[in-house]
Amino acid sequence: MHPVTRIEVAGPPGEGPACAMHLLALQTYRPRKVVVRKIAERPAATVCIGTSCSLPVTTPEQLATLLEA
Amino acid sequence: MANLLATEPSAYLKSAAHQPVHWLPWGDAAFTRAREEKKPILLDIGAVWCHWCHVMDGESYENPEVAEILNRDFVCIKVDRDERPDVDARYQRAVQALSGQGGWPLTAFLTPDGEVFFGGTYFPPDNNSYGRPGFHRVLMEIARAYREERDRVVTNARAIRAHVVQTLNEAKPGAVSADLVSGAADQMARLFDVRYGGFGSAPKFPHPAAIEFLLACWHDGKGGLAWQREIVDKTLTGMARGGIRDHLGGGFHRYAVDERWIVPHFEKMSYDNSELLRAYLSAYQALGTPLFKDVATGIVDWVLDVMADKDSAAFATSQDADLTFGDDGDYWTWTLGEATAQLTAREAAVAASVFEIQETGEMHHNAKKNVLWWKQDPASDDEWPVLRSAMKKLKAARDRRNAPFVDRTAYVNWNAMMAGAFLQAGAVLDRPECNALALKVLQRIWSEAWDVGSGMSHVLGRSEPRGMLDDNVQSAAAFLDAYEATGESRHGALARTARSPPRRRCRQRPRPGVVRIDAAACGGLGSAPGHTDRSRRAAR
Repeated sequence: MHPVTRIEVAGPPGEGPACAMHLLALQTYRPRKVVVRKIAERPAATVCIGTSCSLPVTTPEQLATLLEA
Repeated sequence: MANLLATEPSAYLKSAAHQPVHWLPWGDAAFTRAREEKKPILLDIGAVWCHWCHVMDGESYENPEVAEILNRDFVCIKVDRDERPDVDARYQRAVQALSGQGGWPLTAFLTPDGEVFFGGTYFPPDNNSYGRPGFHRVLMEIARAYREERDRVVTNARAIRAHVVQTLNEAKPGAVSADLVSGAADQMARLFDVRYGGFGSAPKFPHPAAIEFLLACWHDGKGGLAWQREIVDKTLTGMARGGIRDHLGGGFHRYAVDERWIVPHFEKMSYDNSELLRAYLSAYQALGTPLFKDVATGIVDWVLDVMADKDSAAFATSQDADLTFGDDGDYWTWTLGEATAQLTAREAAVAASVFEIQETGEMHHNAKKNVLWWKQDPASDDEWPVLRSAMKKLKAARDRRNAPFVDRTAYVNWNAMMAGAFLQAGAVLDRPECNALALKVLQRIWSEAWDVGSGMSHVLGRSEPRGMLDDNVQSAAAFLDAYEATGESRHGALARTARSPPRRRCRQRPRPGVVRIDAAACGGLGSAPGHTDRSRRAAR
């Protein structure tokens, strides 16, 4: 009835923008939220609501804006 | 002479070992004896944290005259509901169908086949003014009926069973629809108490799942339905201000006896607090209310302080209300003199105004005892630090009192629930120590409780009972939380593995005559010894 929100955060492990975006994703309230953390060279986060996804963002501020929408 | 409960691992069963009643633990031996001796069974289900269980123990089961009747005319079984939630769920339903009420102590009378024919909760020793029949009279009458009208008793028991199976099975097949969801929200709204928050009137239970449900509904409606948010706000605020919250130590007592949340039953349960922790965290995440963050922080601090065994990585189950039988929560409450003795004059004045500490308090057993509940905020900004100092001193003084018993049995379902809530707390409150402890607990669940053939055990460190739905589902959910929190794929794999075995087991037909501990795993209605097929089909 209502879509799932899937927040995927990729990036290097340890401190840095990916870690901050991962924490922000966990701290955000959304019913039916799924947070996926992946290891990659560069930080990037996408937010998919149902079957439509955002373009990747690279900073916690950009992710916060996406999640407020 | 001790009865057969002395060697049981449960603290609650051990505490009944000295009673003159010849208690037997739950199991085939008890049912076999009832069949051989052609006697009805008295089944008493209670818990170590349950106040009225201790009252009934003291009044009736420790009374030699009552014990004589029981030992002569009945086979007596005592069960710890925390140890055997499957047995409890089954008999709660039957007694509820019969008497209209459930809860603990659960006092059920069974045929030797395990079918309920009479029951209730607490029975006073003699007929009392509330119209409850006295236990002595009940026992005499039931023994007589079973002796003289056994056929009728057995027929009634079967009819009750059929009724429970057909009409009280809450699980129904079908898709979830928007109407179902909005209908549930509307029903909650009808039960909502607009004055003090919460649902229904006295006694008031927290119902954190309803709060989370309505919060999600409100969010899904893009903030469209103000009443949904109002229920969430008012209920969480009402509980946060009430005496149901432990203002000094953090965390919540089990429920309030009044509609204003002021006077609680003081026992503190791990599972209530893990669900409340999640509800307050979610509401703080969604609404940003600082009070909700404070309350969540208090729950975490209490768990770390009292309930967590950090070395062995486990969470305790419950903390009792009382130190001794009948003290009615004296550990948690204060006379005006007890409070002022700890404080400066100014601290005492501020604390008395905020928490309404007076010569006459709220407790019935001792009119001088006050429950701390938040009547009003400090009158000015400069009173806040005074209040904080007062609360610190009162907490330190309470810590010097003898504390009620903490049941450190590590149940897998409730450890998993607390671990999941701690992972949410770790992120939302930015407290990595919560994550570290939660992951250690989950590691322990995986290495000690899991068995590939039979699923999770119910207690860490004990091989039986095992295979109950709740232990597997709660563990799987907590592993998913761990996957989200860490990104480690092995946690996702554990979640998938942990939720699969009960489904396999539910397809198996149980052997007749065997009490299946995984009966509750298959939909809630457990199987009676020797009577398994119909309930199993209905439960699917």
